[in-house]
Amino acid sequence: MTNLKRDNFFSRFVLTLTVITVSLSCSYVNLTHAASSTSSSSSSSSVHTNNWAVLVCTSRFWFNYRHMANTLSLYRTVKRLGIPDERIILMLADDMACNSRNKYPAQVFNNENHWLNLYGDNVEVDYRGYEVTVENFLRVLTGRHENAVPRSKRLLSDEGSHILLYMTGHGGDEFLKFQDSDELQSHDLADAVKQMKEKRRFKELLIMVDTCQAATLFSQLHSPGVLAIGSSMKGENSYSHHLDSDIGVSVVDRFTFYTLAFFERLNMYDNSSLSSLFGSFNPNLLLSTAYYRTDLYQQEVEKVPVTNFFGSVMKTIHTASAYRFISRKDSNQPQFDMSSHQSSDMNAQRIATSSDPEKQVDDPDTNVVKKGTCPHAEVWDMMVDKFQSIKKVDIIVNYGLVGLLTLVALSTWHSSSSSSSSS
Amino acid sequence: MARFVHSIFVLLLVFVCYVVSESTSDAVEQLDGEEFSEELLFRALPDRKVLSHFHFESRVPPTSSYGHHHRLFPKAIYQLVHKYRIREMELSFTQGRWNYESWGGFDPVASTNAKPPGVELWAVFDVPSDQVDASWKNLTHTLSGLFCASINFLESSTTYSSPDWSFKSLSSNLRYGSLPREAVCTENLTPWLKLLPCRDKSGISSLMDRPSIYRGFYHSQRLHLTSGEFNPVPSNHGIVLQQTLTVVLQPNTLETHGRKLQPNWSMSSLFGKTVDGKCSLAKSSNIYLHLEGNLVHNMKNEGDYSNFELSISPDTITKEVNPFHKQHPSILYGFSINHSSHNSKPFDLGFKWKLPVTWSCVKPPLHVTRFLMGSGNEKGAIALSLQSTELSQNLDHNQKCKLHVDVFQVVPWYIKVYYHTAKVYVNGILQSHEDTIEKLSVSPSEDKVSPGVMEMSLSLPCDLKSASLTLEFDKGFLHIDEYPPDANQGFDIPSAIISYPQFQTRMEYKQDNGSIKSPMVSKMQEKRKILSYTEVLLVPLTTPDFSMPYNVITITCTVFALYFGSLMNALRRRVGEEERLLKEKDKKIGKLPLLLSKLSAKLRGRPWDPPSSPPPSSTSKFISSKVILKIVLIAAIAFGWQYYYG
Amino acid sequence: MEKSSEKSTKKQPWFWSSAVASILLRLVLIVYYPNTLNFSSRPEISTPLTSLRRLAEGYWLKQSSMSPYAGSMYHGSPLLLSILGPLTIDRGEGKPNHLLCGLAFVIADFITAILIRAIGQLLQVADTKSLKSLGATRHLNVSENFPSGDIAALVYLWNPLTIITCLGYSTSPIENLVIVLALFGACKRLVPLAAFGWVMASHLSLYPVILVIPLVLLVGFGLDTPPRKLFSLDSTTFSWRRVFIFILWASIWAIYVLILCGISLKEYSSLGEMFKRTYGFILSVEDLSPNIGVLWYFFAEVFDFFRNFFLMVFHINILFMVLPLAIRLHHRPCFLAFVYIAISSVLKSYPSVGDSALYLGLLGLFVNALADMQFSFFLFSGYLGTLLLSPVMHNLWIWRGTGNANFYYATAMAYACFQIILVVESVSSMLNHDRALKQGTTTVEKKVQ
Repeated sequence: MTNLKRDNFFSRFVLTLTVITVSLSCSYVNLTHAASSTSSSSSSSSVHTNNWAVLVCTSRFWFNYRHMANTLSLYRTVKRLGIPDERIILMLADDMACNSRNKYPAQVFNNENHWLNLYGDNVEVDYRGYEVTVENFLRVLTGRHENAVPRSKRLLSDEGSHILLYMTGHGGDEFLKFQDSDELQSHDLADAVKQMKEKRRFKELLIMVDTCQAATLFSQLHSPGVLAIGSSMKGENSYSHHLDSDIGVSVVDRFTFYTLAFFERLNMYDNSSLSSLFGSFNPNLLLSTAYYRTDLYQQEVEKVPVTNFFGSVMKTIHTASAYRFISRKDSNQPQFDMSSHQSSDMNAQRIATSSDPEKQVDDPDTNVVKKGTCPHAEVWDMMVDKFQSIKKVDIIVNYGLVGLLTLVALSTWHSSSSSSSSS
Repeated sequence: MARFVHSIFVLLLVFVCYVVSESTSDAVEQLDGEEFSEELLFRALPDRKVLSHFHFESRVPPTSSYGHHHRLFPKAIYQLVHKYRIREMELSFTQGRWNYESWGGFDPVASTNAKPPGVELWAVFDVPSDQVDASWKNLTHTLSGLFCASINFLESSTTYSSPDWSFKSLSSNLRYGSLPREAVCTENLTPWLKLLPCRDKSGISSLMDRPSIYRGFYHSQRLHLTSGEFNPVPSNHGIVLQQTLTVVLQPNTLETHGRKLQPNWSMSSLFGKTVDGKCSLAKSSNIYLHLEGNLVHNMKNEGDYSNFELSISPDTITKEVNPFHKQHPSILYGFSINHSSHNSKPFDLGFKWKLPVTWSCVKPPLHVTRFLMGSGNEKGAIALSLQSTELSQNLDHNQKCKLHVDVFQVVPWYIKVYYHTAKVYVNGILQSHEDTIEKLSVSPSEDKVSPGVMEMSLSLPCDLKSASLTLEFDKGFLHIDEYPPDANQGFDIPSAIISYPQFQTRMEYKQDNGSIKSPMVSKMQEKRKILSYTEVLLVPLTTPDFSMPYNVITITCTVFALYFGSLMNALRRRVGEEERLLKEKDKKIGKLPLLLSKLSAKLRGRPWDPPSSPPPSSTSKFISSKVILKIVLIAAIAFGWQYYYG
Repeated sequence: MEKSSEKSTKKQPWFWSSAVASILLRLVLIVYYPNTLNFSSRPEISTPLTSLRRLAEGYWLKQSSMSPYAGSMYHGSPLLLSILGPLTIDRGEGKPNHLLCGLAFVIADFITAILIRAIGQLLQVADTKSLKSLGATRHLNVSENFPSGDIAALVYLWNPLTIITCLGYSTSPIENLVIVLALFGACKRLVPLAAFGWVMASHLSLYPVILVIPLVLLVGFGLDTPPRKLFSLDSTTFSWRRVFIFILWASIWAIYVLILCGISLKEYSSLGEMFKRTYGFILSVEDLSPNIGVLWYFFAEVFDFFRNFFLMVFHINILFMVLPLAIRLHHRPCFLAFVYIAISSVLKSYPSVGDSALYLGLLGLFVNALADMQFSFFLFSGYLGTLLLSPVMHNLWIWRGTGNANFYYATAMAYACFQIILVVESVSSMLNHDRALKQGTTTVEKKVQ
């Protein structure tokens, strides 16, 4: 009894000891990790691995030229700061560059001076025209696509991704209009972001919105790691910056214009912080108050460089086994493809091989039926054959209809005579 | 300084590349069959415009003999072919409409490169026929990713069709679809150029300045793929990828003297760029200038080819042999960039007119227009009008002579065509179907499932002036979710394809054996069917009120409630009980029932409610106790429910 | 309703002359004004189910050896295709020859009217008999003034709705004919005829299926009588034998019709496809083109995920009232049939004025019973107003583009409301009539006592 107790006590002691050591080591690991990496987020696995950008212009029609120019300006900026085209999802709701009203075909300008063609030679538009819908937008964010959708149209981010989500268009209190027909509401956006968080599709997310009453779009967000910038507060409009008399419409919005003005001064290696970006918005110039929502973001905005979102910081990851991570990632896809290939081939072969036995099986069946004939079946077969061999269907149907009418008449006459006789 | 160094570096690089390619080209050809060639064809058009036609061709031998690794052939296309087992495929992006009247419709360039506006895609698969649709779906998605276009809209079964015989006399595994409204712009051209080994960095493709291309009157970018990979019999025919870009441009007319003279042009004036040298990976890199037969003929009248001047003397001059249908032979001037890049001067072909000349292109046998008839948004008719051109007038005019015309038309399901109303008029006189319609296959449209496809073979008398075909239709009404955001703009009916099986076109040039065979010229020598596309029709459809769903739901449900409630109420009135109660009251209180019955007669529309009339105190007490009992019972049940399940 | 009371005073020859006059009017309109008003394309007259143009397309598809149901054009019966199809064919040069079709519809209308008249006469005889047996002489005297059969037939023949339906080349005159045939057969206790009419009507337009209840009641009990519950009448007992015979004949006709359909569709399609394209099309309201019903705009606007729910709700709405009405009105099967026809013509997926014409005609049969119906003038002017407004709104919306869909929808709603009021009022006044009968007889009884 005492032995047992002692054993018990001993085991417990050992257990607590191990627990303490493990927790200590964990905390030590955590500490070292925190010290070594810039990220202070609790999960040790998420290291900033890559940058993604989702740039959305939601307005159709020529007079919304400026929204497309906004989006393309941001596109150009993030490309310049190092995010590759494969990691930018660009959604443009209409075609302005080759629009027949555009005086400068295949060119889009965001400034009167026409110094910079935003539509350069190397634009990759992933979603355009009628494809830009709320459904597709939410699909991109949450990654719930049909199987056939190509990789270039997917947001293939992981738990270490920093995502920049830029949207521009016409909005209002807690909604953003898509194509002037359906709308994205603030809780849709919040739900999508929450889902992304739970699916570990991002580490940090910066949502930047340039619409009227942009701040209201963020009101439902609750997921950690999300930072939001809106061009105007509730009740305020976002105004366009200036009109290009050659093109005939306004070419850029104020908020985006001053954002670009800030970024034009930066290069890929700059270390300006997000707070300096926030500081650059002057309400007097914007004619609206820019709104920042930072309460969901754990880090200090002063210390985070803007290139965390607008640039692509390619971190070198030191791993024990060389190339393992990369090789796994790369080899997975082709292998899968290969296997599907092979399987489909196999299937085809199987079908090809199996079709013959089936035929063989079929034939005996019919034979059996024919062997086991009874006179009724024969008659039936004959009737069926005759039925099948009928050519002039219409005539038969017509005869049938005439017969139907005569039958009706006969039966009616019969019943009437019988009823009269009975009564 | 830096720029100078840079340019020197580039030149050096080009030179090195050139030397390397020169030194290895022969050896390489023997070793592997991968080939790439780039060509460009210029042709002056009668209406003061210039046609430029880029032709790039990549070939790879079959995998069985060559393996999976490629040096030149784009990997994306190779994978596409293998993954979806494509036998043949053509994808075209077009903006503008080919003007068959003034740009011609009878030559090989026009019949293969005049395409309907927007995106057109067709593909022949080498899979069992039940998997064709799945392959098509995947193919459209892949292409949409590859070419930055919404080709994936062709995925839905309402947009594509499988023509039997009129489009291409091949097999059941063909799928055809087109998106007339798809915008075509830089983002489509860039991935197309990325398939070329030199992209747009060197060679002829470096001419492609986006603004000048998209400023043109017509541009069509085409990708044609044929593969012999899946042939049952192993052959040496691998995958051939043809990429063509056809642009119709208006040269700057500032320098022309007077209106009579056609405008002069040069490569730099058309594109704003010049060719610095050939793409070093290309087997051949040629530029051609094509003078049409009629032009040559008209110039001959004026004098001996002295009407124009070329800035660079041609390397080859070939004349067409055996021209078809009594036409005048055309002339092809060839320039090879291989030679001109020896000197560092960029290649800039210029064309200068010296004497005015007018000519006209060879038109297709019939001039085809398609239009809508009728007004209002309920119904209408599609009319296809065919008018004879000089080509069909040249046919011999005996009685037996018949002109065959194939019509292939896809109509979206919301245009509900009555095929029994098809009428054919020849010279304005209604003809019977037996005389004119030789073959007709129709697969009528099914709502929200498949488009209507009509394939019709007309046989018309040769001496016709005009013929027309009309089909009546009803316009459908869609659900509000099916309307696009700009529903009031209307809906498109894709182009119909008109082909002439009796006519075939080819341009035969005698190529001397010494020079390398040009893929483009050999392409022109192939016999091919004359095709022409009609206009895209824009059909306005009525729209419901998009802001009404809640109102409509509530109002309709109210009407149903009215029906249900009032009818139920009328039925619920128990006449028998009514009578009995009346009798009881009759016994109890003397004159009241008489009054009541009068009242009920007046209010016949109302339900009868006994408690509302002066109730006796005893019954009221009874009722109230009953009501209290009921309330207590319900409360007890509720409490129990809450207690056990809450 | 108003006109009918005027004409009712006339004598028998007057009936024939006016019937012939209405037929002549139709013929004149068909021959001399074939396409002036374009009745055949009006949504009020020809629905996707009844349009002769769609039938012609189906016939053409069949002639060119395709399934008539290929594509979503034709949704009618294959038998109709073989009867009417050859009449629609284009006769060479000139315009399509619709004269024969028009003639067929005129004949159908005429036969319908004659049958309605016969039903009315039977009803009247039965009514007098039962009233006599009750001794309700006061009612007897009043009702002798109204030859309700003639009135109903004339209302049917001269109803402008019937006339435009006939001119509009829709197949609803034939549908109406078979429905009335079924009723006539049941009234006359010609069980095979009743079964035939019922099977054909259900085959043609599905909704007459619910008429099985009044038909069985008619066959079993006989014609309309005052409620047995109020009077202790022992004369009629439910004859199960007749009902059994009815079921037998109905199954025979159903099998016959299905075999015929099967033969006519043998080469191109199957019965399964026929059911899917006819009944399925009716039940799943696929065609959203405007009509005078209440469902098209609803299903054009409703959110997709609610569609199935509302489809069920709306169809159940018809079925829901079948049983209560049958319980309450089982002593008046003819009237019950009228109510069923009226309800289904209000709530069916693709209603047309042809359906309204039928139940308005049948309404004439109950002139005596419904003499003190309320709101009759209001209803009359309501019908007139909506039917005049409907083409105007349609024109504004579809042709001119100055109005929008809500305009037309509003008239459809108003029309539905008027129809509902008519149904409710007629039901309640019929119930009141029975009660008044009871009161009358009880007073008589008291006097006798």
